[in-house]
Amino acid sequence: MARTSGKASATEGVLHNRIAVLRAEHGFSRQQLADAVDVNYQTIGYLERGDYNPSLELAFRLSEVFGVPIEAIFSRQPMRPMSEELFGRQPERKEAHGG
Amino acid sequence: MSAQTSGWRPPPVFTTAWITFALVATVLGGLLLLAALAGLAGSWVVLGYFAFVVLTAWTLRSVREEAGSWLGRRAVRRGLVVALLADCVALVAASPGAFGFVVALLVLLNVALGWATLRMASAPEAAVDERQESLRNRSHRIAYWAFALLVGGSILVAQVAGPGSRSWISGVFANGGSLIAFCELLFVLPAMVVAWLEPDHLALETAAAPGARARVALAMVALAIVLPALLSAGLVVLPARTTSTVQSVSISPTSRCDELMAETQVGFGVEARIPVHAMACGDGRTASEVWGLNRSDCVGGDTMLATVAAARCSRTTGPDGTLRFTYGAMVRPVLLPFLGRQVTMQVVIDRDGRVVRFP
Repeated sequence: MARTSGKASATEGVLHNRIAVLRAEHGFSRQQLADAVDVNYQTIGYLERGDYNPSLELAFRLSEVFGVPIEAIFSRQPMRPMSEELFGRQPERKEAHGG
Repeated sequence: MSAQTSGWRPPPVFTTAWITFALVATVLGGLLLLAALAGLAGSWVVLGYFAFVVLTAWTLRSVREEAGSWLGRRAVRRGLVVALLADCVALVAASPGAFGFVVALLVLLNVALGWATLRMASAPEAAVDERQESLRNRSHRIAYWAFALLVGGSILVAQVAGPGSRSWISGVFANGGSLIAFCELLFVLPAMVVAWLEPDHLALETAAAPGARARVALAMVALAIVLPALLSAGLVVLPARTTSTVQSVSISPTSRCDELMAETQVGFGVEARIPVHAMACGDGRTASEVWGLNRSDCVGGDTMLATVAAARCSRTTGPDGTLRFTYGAMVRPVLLPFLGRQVTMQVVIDRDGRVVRFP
């Protein structure tokens, strides 16, 4: 899951990513994606959790597997939801109703 | 434990850690075989147990499944590291009786550590991915400094502190347990650091049931852990076996003398043998010992993972000239010291030198 928390964005060296979203979109399990990019499946989990930042080579391999540019997968800024990025829509926010 | 079979890479066979393990196992196996041939109590059982542990380690090694959710937890892996370090300390301080058990435990803990870390600390380049390689390099850097500080610092402080600590450190390095602990830290510390640092593992989305080999391996591990406890409990609950011989000896024309030999054995594998060996005579008025029924004779015999302490030791001569000697020994297993049993051996010889009771 892409990391979007303010705390994470304030941390230096944190790389935000959309791997979990893209993996779900392509219908890959972690194991299948791990086999496709030739890493241990735990590494995919750590990437998704933001516990590990990939090398440039692994980032390119992921980009090739998902068929999207690297900047669509990784960002130094918290990533916006895909719907917002594609269609410019803001996610609906529930209004707080007073009693 | 969830089984994870796909994506698993076969571990390297001849790693440094594995060669060290094989060397230590061979040396200890040889020593135990020598001990068994020399007829020491219970050593065949200990030798068999050690062989079983090695077989368990081998079976575990051949299980082509990653450690499941339990060993994948960082807290469990950290507990494993603490247990390994405690075992290293126990190796330095272990009594000869408990040494075999501590080494067997070390072997089991090392196997579990290898399983929990996928042996990535000693895996070749081709068997690890970039994250594992980076973690491995970091763990080797940390282990290098930790080892240097731990061992080098201990030696330095002991050398500088005073003559007492100097003689202590020379004593520590003179025993085999310290050498094994030293090798353990030298070769396995990077794997301990990996186990300590790596975050919680993720479970596979499609967890498969453990294979037959994995189930057998887990059953063997459970048995290897439970067996020492069962054998220790056997020391307390199994019936005692006593053998005795009484042999007449003529040392005086006016007295009847007998040489008495008895041994009570309790337990199997974890066992103790308590001997009584004496010579006593009766001259028609009073019975007396020639040798062997004194307080200094209330001592434990051969033990294996057990302790023997004299709980009662008395010799009395009654008004009718009867000699009574009672030796009550408290026997406790080293591994379960809160358990214990008293073994009593009694010698009663009448004034004519006849053996009324033995043992």
